[in-house]
Amino acid sequence: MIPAGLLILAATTAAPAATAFAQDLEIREPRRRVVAVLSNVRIAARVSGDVIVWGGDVTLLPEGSVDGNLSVFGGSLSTSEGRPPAVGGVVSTPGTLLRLYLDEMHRAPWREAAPALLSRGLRLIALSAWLAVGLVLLFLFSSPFARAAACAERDWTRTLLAGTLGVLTLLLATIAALALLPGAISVPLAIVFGALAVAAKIFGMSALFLLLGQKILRSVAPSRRPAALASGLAVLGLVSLVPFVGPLVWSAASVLAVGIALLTRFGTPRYKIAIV
Amino acid sequence: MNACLRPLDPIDAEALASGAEPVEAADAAEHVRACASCAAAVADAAAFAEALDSAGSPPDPAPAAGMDLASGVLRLRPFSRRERLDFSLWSGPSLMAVALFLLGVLLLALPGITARDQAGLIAAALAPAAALLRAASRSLAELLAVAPSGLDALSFALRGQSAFGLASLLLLAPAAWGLKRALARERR
Repeated sequence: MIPAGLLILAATTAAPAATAFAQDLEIREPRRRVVAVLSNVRIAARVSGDVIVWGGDVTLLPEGSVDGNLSVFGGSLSTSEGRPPAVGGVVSTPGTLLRLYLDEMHRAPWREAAPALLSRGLRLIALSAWLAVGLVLLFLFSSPFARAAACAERDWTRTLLAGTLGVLTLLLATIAALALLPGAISVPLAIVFGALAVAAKIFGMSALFLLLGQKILRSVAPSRRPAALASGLAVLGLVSLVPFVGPLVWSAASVLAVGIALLTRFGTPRYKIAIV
Repeated sequence: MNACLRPLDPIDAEALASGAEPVEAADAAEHVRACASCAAAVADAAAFAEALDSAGSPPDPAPAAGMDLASGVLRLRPFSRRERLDFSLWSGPSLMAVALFLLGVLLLALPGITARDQAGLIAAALAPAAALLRAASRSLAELLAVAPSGLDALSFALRGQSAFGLASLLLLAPAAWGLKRALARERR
């Protein structure tokens, strides 16, 4: 047993890791670990460690297996002939709720009769979550949201410019940090940048819904803010459900939202006045 | 040079310009009709009086600064305690969020729904709703669990592409400068 175990250990440690950047990868020989960025990966041999893919699809062929975890960021996982993936660890596709939902419902994705209906349903639920989060934030921080909406209304062009440059700066800073700094520093830094981007998007989108709603209702009265937020979300949400155009509009709104958050510093007043 | 042999008195010119009777010469009005240079003097006096009138009149009505400030303060003010606790303000949007959620769950349930399930749609939608909540919590847990190792792997892959990292760093400088300018201009 022990010599056999040592042999297996030697075999697995001897297998090299495979790394790919912006070019497709096919694993035909045993590998210790596979990391691919902006590449599609086909696995036709044993991988003794983890497989991590960013921005690419993974296909697990019948003769392929993964002993460790299989993580696909911004891509999909498929297996030949629809069989369950031969993965020893955890299979994860972060950010895609559909796979987990179907898993919870004990339904296989390839057997779904109406995947479009499912994605519409998930989209509506996501919109309801946006509205709920927006209302809670508005309840807690009404004045910063009103200030951010008023600021964005004054100069749309500058807001869009700030959003574009903000997204670009965060993206480039993350890539530069990950590529040039050691992992111990770059990974926490990337998480901080990501958290900042998410916070800016959530704040900015809520302010954008409020602004659109105020335009629709033709009222900026504080008592109409909840109704304005819901109206703005209804309009933008409806547009986002339109095929092809919807995702584009939603993406542009997200960039604008980041611009609103950065330009207004999350709705903080320009000058603070102390009344004594 | 005045071509008129009997030039009009300036007081009479002003009087005629304003439509009043002349003071110095009773026949000033007839004289002006016959004399071009005196008619010009009356026209000048009329123009001068109009200029004086417009200089003394109040400026065109414009939005008062006080009104702007008041509407600005009203627009930015936080909720009052009454508004925060007024159920009627929040009930509509909250119901809309619930309706969107239920509609979404119904769409999720539709593909797998059977003829028997159609009798009780709410009961049929409960299973997808529960599955969705479990999936959402799993998704969050999954993201938190794999993000560090995923970023570490991404860093590992990108470190092999030093040119890519340097290009990002070079592009970062103008992007950050532009962002700083855009934000600074707003602050001014």
